[in-house]
Amino acid sequence: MEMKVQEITVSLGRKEKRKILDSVSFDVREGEFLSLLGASGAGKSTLLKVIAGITVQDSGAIIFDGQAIDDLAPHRRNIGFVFQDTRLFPNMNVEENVAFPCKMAGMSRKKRLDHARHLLECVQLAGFGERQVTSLSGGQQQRIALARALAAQPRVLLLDEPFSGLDEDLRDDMRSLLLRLHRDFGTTTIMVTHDAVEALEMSDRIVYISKGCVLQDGSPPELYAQPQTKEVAACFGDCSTLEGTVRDGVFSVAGLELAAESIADGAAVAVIRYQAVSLRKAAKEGDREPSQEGMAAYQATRKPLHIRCSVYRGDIHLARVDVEGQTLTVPSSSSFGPGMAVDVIVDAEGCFIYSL
Amino acid sequence: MKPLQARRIRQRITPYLLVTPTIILVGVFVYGVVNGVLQGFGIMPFLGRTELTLDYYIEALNRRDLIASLNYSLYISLTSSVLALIGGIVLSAALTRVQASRRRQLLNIQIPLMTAHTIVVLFLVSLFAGSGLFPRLLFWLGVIDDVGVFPSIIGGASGWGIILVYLWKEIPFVAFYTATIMMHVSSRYGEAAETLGASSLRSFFSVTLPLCKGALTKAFLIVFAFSFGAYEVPFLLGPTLPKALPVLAYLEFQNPDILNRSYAMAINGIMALICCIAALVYFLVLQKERKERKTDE
Repeated sequence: MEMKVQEITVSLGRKEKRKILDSVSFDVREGEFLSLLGASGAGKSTLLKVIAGITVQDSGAIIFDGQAIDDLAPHRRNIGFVFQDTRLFPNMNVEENVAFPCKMAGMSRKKRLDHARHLLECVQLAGFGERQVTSLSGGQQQRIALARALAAQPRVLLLDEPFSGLDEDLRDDMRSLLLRLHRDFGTTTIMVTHDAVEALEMSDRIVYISKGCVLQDGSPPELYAQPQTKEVAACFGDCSTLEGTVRDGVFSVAGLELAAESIADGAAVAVIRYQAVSLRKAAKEGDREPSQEGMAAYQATRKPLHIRCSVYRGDIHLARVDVEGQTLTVPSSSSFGPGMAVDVIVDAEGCFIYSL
Repeated sequence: MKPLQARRIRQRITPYLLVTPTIILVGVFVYGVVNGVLQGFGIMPFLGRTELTLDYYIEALNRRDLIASLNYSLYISLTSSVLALIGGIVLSAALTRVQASRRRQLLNIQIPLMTAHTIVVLFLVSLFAGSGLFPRLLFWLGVIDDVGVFPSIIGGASGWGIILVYLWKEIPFVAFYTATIMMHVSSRYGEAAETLGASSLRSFFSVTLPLCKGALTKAFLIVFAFSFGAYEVPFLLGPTLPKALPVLAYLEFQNPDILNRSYAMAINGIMALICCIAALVYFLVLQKERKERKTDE
């Protein structure tokens, strides 16, 4: 099923209206796995609730296969919803939970229980049907919630941070399971997440939302390699953010100079990913190489910078370089002592500059 | 005394000082109950009676009007409790759907809770008694031929007046007792059910209501025990015969012969036994809920 989200605006609050979503628009193609990515409080879950019909928007439209569904109550939209806290019904056993949407659709008891058993096999929980939901682990409960959401063959599957309550190793298993189910069932899927790596791994497309607005909409490689804003560039983690100024296509702060072509002169911010930056002991004044603009990697320091401290992180050390009170974090195989003078080598591919 | 030792002593004493008022109150209550129970068994040391006897219980149970009184009390309390439960569920469900702030909603339903029963009796008598506003209005509209045709609120065997007075307080009580849990269940599981294809009504009956079963059972038991043991409303509005059990006990208690008090206490003992059964069921429901909560954790 194809879906359009058209200029959705939602405001909350009685006296002082606060915009939670501000004219949000994007399309979802048939069978696509789309992630709504953004920080907590960005409005992602509210948008999911608008699509589900739980929250009513102030303006805008939700369109399923060319037809606006805004006047339909949630139970008439034929959606599957997986909540972060699973919300399995404690008054029903596993089988009855999975069969619940089929019961609501009027399926006979035998048929719906057979269907529930088949779905339990799909989520690798065959034989769990008679158990009480409260006796299951978090991962098992989330699998049941997935099976339940898929039971009525929904037109769109909505997932609200489904794995955020799970341990890291369980999350990996659940991601694989979800991708397999998506491949097998082909259901159009929208997943809310604040984990950028999760969005990269799982999605066909990512819509980045911040403060109720869409900042960027594109494929995972597009968002990762060509982030359009500082926030999108920084969301993948392991990066430093430095404020400085741009003049004649060069961003500079405290002797650090970065190529900033096509950025207007004035205050700017640079997002530098850990893997795009390295250190070496500062060269003597006469041996210092000039910046080589246009090259993939170049020495970015006109004068040496100094190490503030170095922290151990298992396989690497993270050196914190003092940049006029700001911090540039650089991974390194060996530890640098505090106060040591260093030069910084920057790879242009992992360095993004934006006007402020 | 060293400062550290003084602090330790203060820490040990404080909890006991804090529970002292409660202990005094509970002590007075327990003294009253034990005294009443002993009197039911004929023990009244201040009259020189110290021998335990079942005579008063046997006499009370052999009384011809006791079964009728017991049945009448059970009828009043069960009918009013069931109706209060239904009304409370409807009011609670309505509150969960209203968008007003939670505190305001709960405050609104506390108004009937704060009104004394005797005030409600006066209010209903002025509305529904033979010369009351409602029968006169019906007569004026031509619905009834005479104000006397309207079923009497005072002394009627159906006890509809007593039931109505209880409902005034018990419906909001049930709603007040269950609204918070129902709001929580509805916003959590009801919302999930609706995204899975259940209409609001089906979601309410298949998910919300079953999950509020414990709170509803407890609310029912409280209002049942109260209406079964309460005396003033059936005394004011009840029929001459059969008398509600608490009224019967009160009249025996008021007998000028002080020895009759044992007899009144025996009737009270029968009432207390039924209320204890309700309390036991309440305790069992509570235990079940605690067990379920532990499993959830």
